[in-house]
Amino acid sequence: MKKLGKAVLFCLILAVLLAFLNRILMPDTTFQADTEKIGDEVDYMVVGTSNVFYCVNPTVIWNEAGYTGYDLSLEQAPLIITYYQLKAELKKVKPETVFLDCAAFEYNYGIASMNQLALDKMPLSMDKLRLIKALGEDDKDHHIAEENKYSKINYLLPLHKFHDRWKEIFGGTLKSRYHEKYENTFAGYVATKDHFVYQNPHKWLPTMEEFGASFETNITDLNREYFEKIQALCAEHDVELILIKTPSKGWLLETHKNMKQFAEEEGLEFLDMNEETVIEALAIDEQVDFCDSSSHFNIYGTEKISRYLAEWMQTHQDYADKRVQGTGTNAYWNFLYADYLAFKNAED
Amino acid sequence: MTLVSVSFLIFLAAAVLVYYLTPQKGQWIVLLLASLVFYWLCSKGFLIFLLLFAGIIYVFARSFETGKKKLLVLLEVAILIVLLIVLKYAGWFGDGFVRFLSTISFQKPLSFVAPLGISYVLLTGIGYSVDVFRGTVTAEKNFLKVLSFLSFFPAITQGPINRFSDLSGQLMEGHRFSYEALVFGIQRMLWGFVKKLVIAGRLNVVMLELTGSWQGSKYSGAYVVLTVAICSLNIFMDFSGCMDIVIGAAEIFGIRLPENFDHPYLARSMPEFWRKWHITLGEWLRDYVMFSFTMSAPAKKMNKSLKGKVGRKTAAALVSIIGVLFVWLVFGLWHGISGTFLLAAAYYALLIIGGIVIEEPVKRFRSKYPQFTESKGFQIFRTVRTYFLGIPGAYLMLMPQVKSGLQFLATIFTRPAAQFVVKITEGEGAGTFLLGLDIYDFTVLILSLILWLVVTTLHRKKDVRIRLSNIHIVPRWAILLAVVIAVVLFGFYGDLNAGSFIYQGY
Repeated sequence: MKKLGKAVLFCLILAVLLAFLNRILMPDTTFQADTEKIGDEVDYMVVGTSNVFYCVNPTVIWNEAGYTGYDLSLEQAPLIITYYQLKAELKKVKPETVFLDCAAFEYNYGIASMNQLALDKMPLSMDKLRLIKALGEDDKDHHIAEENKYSKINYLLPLHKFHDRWKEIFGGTLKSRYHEKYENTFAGYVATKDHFVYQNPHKWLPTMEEFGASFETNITDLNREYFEKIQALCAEHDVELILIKTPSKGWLLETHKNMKQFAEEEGLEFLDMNEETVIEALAIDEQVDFCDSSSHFNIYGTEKISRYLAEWMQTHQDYADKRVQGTGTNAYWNFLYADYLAFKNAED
Repeated sequence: MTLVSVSFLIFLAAAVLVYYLTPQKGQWIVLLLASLVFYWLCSKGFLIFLLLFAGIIYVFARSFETGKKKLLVLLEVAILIVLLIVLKYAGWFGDGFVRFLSTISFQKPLSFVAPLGISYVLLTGIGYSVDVFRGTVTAEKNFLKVLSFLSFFPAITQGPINRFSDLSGQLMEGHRFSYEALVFGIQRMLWGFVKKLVIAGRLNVVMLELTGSWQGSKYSGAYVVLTVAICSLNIFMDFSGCMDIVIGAAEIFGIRLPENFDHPYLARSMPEFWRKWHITLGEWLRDYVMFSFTMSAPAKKMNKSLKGKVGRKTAAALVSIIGVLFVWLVFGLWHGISGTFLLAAAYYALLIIGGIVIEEPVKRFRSKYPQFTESKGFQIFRTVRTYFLGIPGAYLMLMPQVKSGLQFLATIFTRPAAQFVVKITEGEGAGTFLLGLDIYDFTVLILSLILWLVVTTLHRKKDVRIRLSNIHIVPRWAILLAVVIAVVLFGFYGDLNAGSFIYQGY
């Protein structure tokens, strides 16, 4: 019995050491909104991919309309991940509206390294195990499951993936490449002043032929399944679900039509900012507003999109303007907006 | 599921728990079920071939009870070898055949590989059958017990090659839980992880860097010599690391498996090297191939007829040489039907035969200069000579093709050497690289090799685990925790690829 006690103590010490290593070696990707400070007065939530965390600035929406909300999106997050993320979030917060990023429909099972970012943030729960299982279930070619063989263990034990990062202690880069990328974030919005100029930009909403690439524009069965789960989840929590697509040079006319038809069939609002009237209203400057070639915008482009979205909310939603209420939440949002302005006006 | 995966550790822990919660009488059934589940998890429907092999071995062994039927032994061996060839080289028989095998084993045709450990099952099974035929063991009446012996899961992937007389009793008798066995088993496995994940993983990178992944290397000159040495060290760390994991895992169940390595690099002659390297294969070849040949009627007849012509000693030497050639042919073919394995086998055979040829002159020399030949310096010379004679064999075994492997060897004379240190200043892969490893991995490799040398030296005199158990708990735990953390941090697993176990492919 004494020996068994010793063995248990040894395992406990080892577990503590491994947990410590896990903590210091796991990349720092904590760029999401601080929901504790935001409180429970939340008008909207934007879920999906980097297309929205680079394009929707909640502080600008606050400044424009006094509405509160945040981005809950992750890089290249497929709908499976969005569903489980939203499920966990809705247990804590009850927004009026969830804006679902249509770019998420472009992914099925996602990419292991990107999925890892989402999984690392989730505490161990039955839903996390379900998500890991779901990510392992495969498309018919089984390519992703094979790639995910390691990832399943990586998802459960991040140290399994990141153990080699001990070298970065010597290089002083242990905080990860993600840290720098997500250094300036405001309620889940990733702000950047990077500047990218398209040399030969496509027009907005090009056809597949004009775009010169071939890929699936229909909604896959898997995405339909998880969309329905998201829809049911929102209905269960009495939250309105709206489909949104931020401006993107890679958003095809065929995809737009499919999504529009899908939204009509489901009886959902669909705000596609790639439509001609919206693009005209946004007045995006292709020489100034992009931060890269992946449908992501810098602070200047994002401000235009966010102002438009704030205006759209004013005309389509019944959120209360909280700027006049003078609550504690109000102070936090004012602070957040001031913080954003400080970043914007700071000299590089 | 490989022996160095988290899933294997979880599987092993579950099997150990169920094993010791089961009354001793039924423990062998737990092990059998664990072995079958392990096989299923690794190879899915290939389990059917394991059962087929076991069935054939069981039926033939039972048939030997009714009398010595030499033809039946030969028939059994022939059937098993044909089945092995069919499974290992299914591609030779066309896509349709591969599809058929894939279908019955629930595998995708593209990923079709030979059933896990089938070569080891073959050797173990033939050994058991011949032992029954020779009357050294009694044929087991219970098929499940034969299956349990053949499929014992820690050993099925890469051996060691077990004898029925050694293993079966241990499997059947059951064991009471022993804390010492658990701790010693885990420690042995841990040392195996160090060898495979920390050392062999890095040596594999160095080897692929030096050989240019066998696609065309930029290294030549002295680096070729280094490559040959690295290949040998890599195969040793990989295989002996695996054996540590296997033997350690068996030890947790209270089962002692035979050792497969005994400091081979300290051998003073090639025959001694082969008594220290892959010991169970060497013993198997000696007992079931060499012995069967030398005791066969044709060999005896040959010996008799040669005696009159060349004398007793030379006749015996000539018969031995033919036996050695036969043994090494089996050795080469067992590894695979490939020119590289046959070349390696021929190389080793040549060294052994050379030893037989010069045996008498060497004996005379020793008796003439006993002081010199027994001196420490001469013994060291013998060890170094054996090492340098032995290492090219490992290189020959690892090269993918005879032509490219030999072409690379030839560059020792034809091309200037590449740089030991390479600096890449731009891009994501920027850094300083030494033989393909960055400075950190290179340092870990050197330090871990030093650690291996220290532990191996200490272990020769007294089991390191006993030494550990005799020291105070604080330094003992500190050492063990440090080794575990070292494996976790420095191991080549997860996104880093340590490469498959080399001997799993044979």
